[in-house]
Amino acid sequence: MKFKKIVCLVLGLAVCASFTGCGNSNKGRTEDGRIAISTSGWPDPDSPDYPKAQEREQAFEAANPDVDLTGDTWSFDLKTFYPKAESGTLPTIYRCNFTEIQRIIDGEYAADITDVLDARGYTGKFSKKVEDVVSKDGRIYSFPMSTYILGLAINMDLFKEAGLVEADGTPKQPSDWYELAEYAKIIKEKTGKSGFVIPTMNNAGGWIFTVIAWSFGTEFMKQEDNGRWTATFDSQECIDTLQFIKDLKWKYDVLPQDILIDNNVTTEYIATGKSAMMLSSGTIGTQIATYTINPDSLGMMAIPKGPKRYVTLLGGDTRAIRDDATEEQIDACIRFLEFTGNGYDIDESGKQALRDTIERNKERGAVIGIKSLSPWNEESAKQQFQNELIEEYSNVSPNNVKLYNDFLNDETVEVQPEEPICAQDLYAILDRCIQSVLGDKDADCAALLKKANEDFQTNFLNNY
Amino acid sequence: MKRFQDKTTGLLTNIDLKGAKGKIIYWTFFAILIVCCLLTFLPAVWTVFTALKGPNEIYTSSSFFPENLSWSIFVDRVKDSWNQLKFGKSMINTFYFSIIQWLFKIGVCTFAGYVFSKLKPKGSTMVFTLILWTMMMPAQMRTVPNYISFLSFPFASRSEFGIGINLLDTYWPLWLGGAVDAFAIMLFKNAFDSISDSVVEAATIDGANKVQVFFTMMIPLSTPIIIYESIMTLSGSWSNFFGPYLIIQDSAKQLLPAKIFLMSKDGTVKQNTYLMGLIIASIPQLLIYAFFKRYIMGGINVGGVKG
Amino acid sequence: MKNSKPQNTKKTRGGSYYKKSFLGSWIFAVPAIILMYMFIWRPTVMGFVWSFFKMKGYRPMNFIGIQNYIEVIKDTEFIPLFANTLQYVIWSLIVGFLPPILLAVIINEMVHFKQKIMTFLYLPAVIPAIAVSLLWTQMYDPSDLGLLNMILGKFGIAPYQWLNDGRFTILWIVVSMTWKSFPSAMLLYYSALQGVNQELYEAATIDGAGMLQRAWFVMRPQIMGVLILNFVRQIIGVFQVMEQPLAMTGGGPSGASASLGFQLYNYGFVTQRVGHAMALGAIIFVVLIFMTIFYFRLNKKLEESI
Repeated sequence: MKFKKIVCLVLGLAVCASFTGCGNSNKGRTEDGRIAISTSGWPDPDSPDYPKAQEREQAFEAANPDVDLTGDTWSFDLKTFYPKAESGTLPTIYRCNFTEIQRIIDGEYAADITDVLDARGYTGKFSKKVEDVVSKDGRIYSFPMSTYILGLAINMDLFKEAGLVEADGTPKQPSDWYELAEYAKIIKEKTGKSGFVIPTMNNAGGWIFTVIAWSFGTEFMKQEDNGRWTATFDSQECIDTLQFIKDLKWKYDVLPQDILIDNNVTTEYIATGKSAMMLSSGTIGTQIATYTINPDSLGMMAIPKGPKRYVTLLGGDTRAIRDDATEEQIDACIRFLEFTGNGYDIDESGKQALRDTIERNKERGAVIGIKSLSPWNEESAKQQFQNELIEEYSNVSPNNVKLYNDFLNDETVEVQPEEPICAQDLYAILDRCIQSVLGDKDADCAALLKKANEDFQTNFLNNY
Repeated sequence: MKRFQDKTTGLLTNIDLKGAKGKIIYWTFFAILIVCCLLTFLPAVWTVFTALKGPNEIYTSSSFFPENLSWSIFVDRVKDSWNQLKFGKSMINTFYFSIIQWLFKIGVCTFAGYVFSKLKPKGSTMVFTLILWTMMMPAQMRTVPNYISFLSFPFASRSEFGIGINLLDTYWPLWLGGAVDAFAIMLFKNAFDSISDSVVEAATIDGANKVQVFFTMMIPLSTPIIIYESIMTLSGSWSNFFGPYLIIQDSAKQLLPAKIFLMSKDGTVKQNTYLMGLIIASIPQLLIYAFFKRYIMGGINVGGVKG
Repeated sequence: MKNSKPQNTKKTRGGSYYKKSFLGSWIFAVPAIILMYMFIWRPTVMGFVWSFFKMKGYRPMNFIGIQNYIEVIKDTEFIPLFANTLQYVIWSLIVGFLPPILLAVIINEMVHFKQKIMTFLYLPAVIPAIAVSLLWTQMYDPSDLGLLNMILGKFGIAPYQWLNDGRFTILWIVVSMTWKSFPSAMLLYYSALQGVNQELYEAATIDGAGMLQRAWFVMRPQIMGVLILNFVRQIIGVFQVMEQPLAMTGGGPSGASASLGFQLYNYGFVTQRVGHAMALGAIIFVVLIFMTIFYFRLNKKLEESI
């Protein structure tokens, strides 16, 4: 039997090459005994940012002679993250945003940094909500750098054209979602451009949708007493939300024609004046730089209220440290974060780093003037300095962004982090619901959500 | 201009073509072909015209032709696109990649074909069967396991010995994986088979060894098939998307096809720059086609694809 | 190799001209065999083995039996994805199978500009596949800026949604795939037709066969082999479609264009359910192996009937 022989041969060879053993030789030290750390997001050697980064590295090593810092040009991206983690080539400290951090922590790819943080006096310094996002079972796994809440980014030119500005040039704030739809309609009638744009793919649609749904009173999932999770968005509140999205397209007719839009494209729509409003964080100021727009074309205000709640999403940016890092490496990483002006307090080097960044952004064409939410529980020196810097370098008319900057300090708005588990999978499912209602005039919102709820339960929560 | 009299027989004989009915059928066929040519050509023309539209025009004008059309606009747009998308680097990368890929593939496959065609050591028929089987095996199944082994090459997975080389971000997985191709081995085996045994025999009597026979007889006598396979390998390297997309993560090393895909996901690239990028990315293959059209069109016969 | 005299003169065994050297001969095939093993046989087998394992990231952990298969099949997306994949296959047979045959037949008849027409028609085949997908995405733009809506506009028809119309997304993707792939299929058929013995036509004509009869009795048998081979190859190829939905729609709208291959990519590289990816890969593998066996049966029958 030739066939059998061949199969045996192949199986044999395959098995030969598959039995286990384990080894790890990361002592975390260089040959000359210094602590070796590497950091993600380093600029390419041919990038204009490179010399500054090099300078900063030297300054850091001069101030911390026991540390050897190397820059790694890799920056976080889910597709490349896992292979890097598996092949042991992750940088010691890497950037990761709030949306992904839960998966990273669950996958045990981030080191427990609680003890080091305690030793450096960070106990109780983070704001409670932020700390929850980066911790699991009471231990902190990632260092929150900056946080934001979602507001409404607008194209000021279109607002002016549609007459939706106050006498002093401040754009008119839509108070709730239905008023937003009315405004969008006015814009569409006056300018012919779509009044509002929401992303619909690559999980960004679901991400935005959850926020609107919260304000309609939706709860997406809850944990039973036995620890299992149940999907609960097969509810009237959620149906109303989806109906609202559907109405935006078919009743108010204020959305763009294309129904496959991802996160980058929404920014393009606002920047190029194809659309007037979108939900966005304050970071849009830097994202928009590539379109080299007149800074005064961008405006930013508060998120509209929902029928049930006045709520917005808490997002942000953290730095995680790879799970096999030693205590002293973690400590060196935190020192590096402080050195670059990301700690609770700030010293001269940190100030200089922040100043360099903002200067560079301004050169690139970013809109400066939108402030960010503080990740700390009280006003930290760092945050204060950053706000001063933003005012100093501001290139946008203060009225354009006044509403958002006030919104940051608004006590009445609830700030909510993303759904606790399987958030990305939920977004993917919701993306589809959105695409369905935008593509089909006769889509049945209730049936769609019923199916989505079931899908989420069987495909994800049951396997969690 | 050729005339109907020159036509060899087919569906329509030249007797048919003398009649009106035959002529009508013939010219209908001709018209169908012209329409098809238009269908293949129109997208290309549209892309060029759209790429030449101005930065604002592109989002507003629904006209087929750009408002302004001049050589300098064309040159500007190409320059813009080339610089903004850093095509120079990925062109060089892809060129380098394709040459090495070609060396690997032709080297490995011709030698293997030689063994199975002429040397035929004991057991070679069985191994050749094994190799032919791989043609039938769906490739999708291998994607993930292969990827896992690239993380700790040459072992199947990292958990085996905890060691191994990480091949991600290098061209090695692509080169090595692309070097063996059952179809190419079969092609070369068939080509070598057609070289008469007596010629080889004569050479060996004159004292040529295996290597000499290979280089002085096998290779020169099967040039057309080697050229055909070379062209296919080279142009394949210029359109290889998924492998490089998965394996190369460092943008400085990225190859052209994956580059244009990533560019489509990058919201900061304007549409006209992007379309020009697509055109630039297609040019190398178009050049290969233009130069080697004869071999591409003729090569399919050499391949001897039979049912 | 001084004494490499022929040891026997039987011509059936090629190895006979050389001094018998087992290793000396195998050495040339070693690279090919090692690479074949590492890149084709081993991953295929390991894919099966690991589909029964729990994976942590890309690391196999412990044996969990058919749990992965259960989760993959119980996934509410599995049936729709399977249906979508079949839809790809069926559309591609409807849209993409006949045109290259017809075109090959027509070109075979041409006297004028034959080579020029071939050159033009072959053009899509030399544009990189990914560029074709991206280009067609632009042409399918649902606003009036896309080429197709621009043309519709010329006839006074309102812009159509193209890829956004979930009922036909797959069809439109298949159209773009066909545009890319028809030239090489056409060339295959054409060269098969070129191999038809001219005397057969003449004999048929003398026997009084008309055009259609000549096509049926002379051309058909000649290209039948290539035809069936292409038919099965197309099914197997399209069944594994993945790059096109990835590049053109991201599987949307509402998952209408997601295929099993696309899901495999998602499992393996996006949502990190690597065990699921292996199980799904194994399922696809088994389905396609059955297809291949079917092909061989069919081919055998065909050979017997001739």
